[in-house]
Amino acid sequence: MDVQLKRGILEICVLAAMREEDAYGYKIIKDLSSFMEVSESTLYPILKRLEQSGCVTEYSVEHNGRLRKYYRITETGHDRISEFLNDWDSVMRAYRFIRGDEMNDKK
Amino acid sequence: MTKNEYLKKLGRALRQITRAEREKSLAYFSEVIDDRMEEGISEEVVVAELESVEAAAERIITEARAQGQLKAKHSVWEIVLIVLGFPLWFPVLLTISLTVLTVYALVWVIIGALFLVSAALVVSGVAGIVGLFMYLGSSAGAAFAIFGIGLAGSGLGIAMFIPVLYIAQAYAKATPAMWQMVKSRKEVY
Repeated sequence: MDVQLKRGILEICVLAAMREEDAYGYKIIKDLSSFMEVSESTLYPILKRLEQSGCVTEYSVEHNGRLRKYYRITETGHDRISEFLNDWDSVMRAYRFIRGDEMNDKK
Repeated sequence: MTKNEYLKKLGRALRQITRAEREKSLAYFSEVIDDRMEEGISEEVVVAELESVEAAAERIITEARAQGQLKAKHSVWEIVLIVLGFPLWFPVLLTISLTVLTVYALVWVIIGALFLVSAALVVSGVAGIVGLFMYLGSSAGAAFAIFGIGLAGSGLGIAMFIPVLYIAQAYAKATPAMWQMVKSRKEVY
C-alpha cells in the first residue's frame, strides 16, 4: 500500500482503537494486529503525532511496579474519525470510478 | 540481546534528538517490551522480534525532525557565552598552555645542565694532567693532589654521563604521551 495512504489510515485506526476505552501502546498493537501489521516503532511516531495535533492526551498509571502510559482520545480525535469516514465516501466513489463500475452501470 | 542492551543501543542511536524526547522514546520501548514479557514471552524473543535498533531509530529521528526536536549543535546561549567570555577564558587558556610549556622546557634545561656538569667534570681530568706537569717542578705534593682531584672529577663525570643520558632518553620518549594527555584535555573543554 502507498506509504502516505497507509500512514493516514493507520492514524485513524489507532484513534479508533482507543474509542471504547483508554489504551496503552502494546494493547493498540494487539488490537490492530488482526487486520494490520503494526510494529512498535511504527506506532510510536503515530502516537506522538496524534498527541502533538491534540487528538489524544496521555497519562501514566502504575502497573506492576512500573509506569504504563495510557492514551485517551479527545474531542478533536473523534472529529478526525468522522472526517475520515466522510472523506471515505468520496474516496469510495472515486474507487468505483477507477474500477469502471459506473460506466458498466450505464451500459 | 537483552532489553537493557537494546535500549542502550537505541539511546546511543538517538543522540541527535533532544534529551526529553529521547527519554520519552526509550520509556515507550521499555514499556512495550515489559508488556510483551508479561504475556510470558521470553526477553530474548521479545527483543529479537522488535525492529532493528537502526530502523527504529530512523523512524523516531524522522518524526523528531518533522517536529523540530533535533538537538541544536550549540545553543544560542552557549555561543553567546563563548563569545562574551573570550576576554576571560582566552588569557586563562594562554596562561595554562604557557605554564605547561615552560615546565616542559625547564626539565630539558635541567637535563642540559646535568650534561654540562658531566662534561665539565670530564674536562677537569684534562686540567688535572695539565696541573700535574705545571706544578711537578715546584711542589710534587700539590701537583699530585691536583692530578688526583682531576682524575676523581673525570671519573664522576663519566659515571654521571650514563644516567643523565638515560633520563634524557626517557623524557624524550615520554613527550608524545604527554602531548596526547594535553590534547585529550583540550577535547574535554
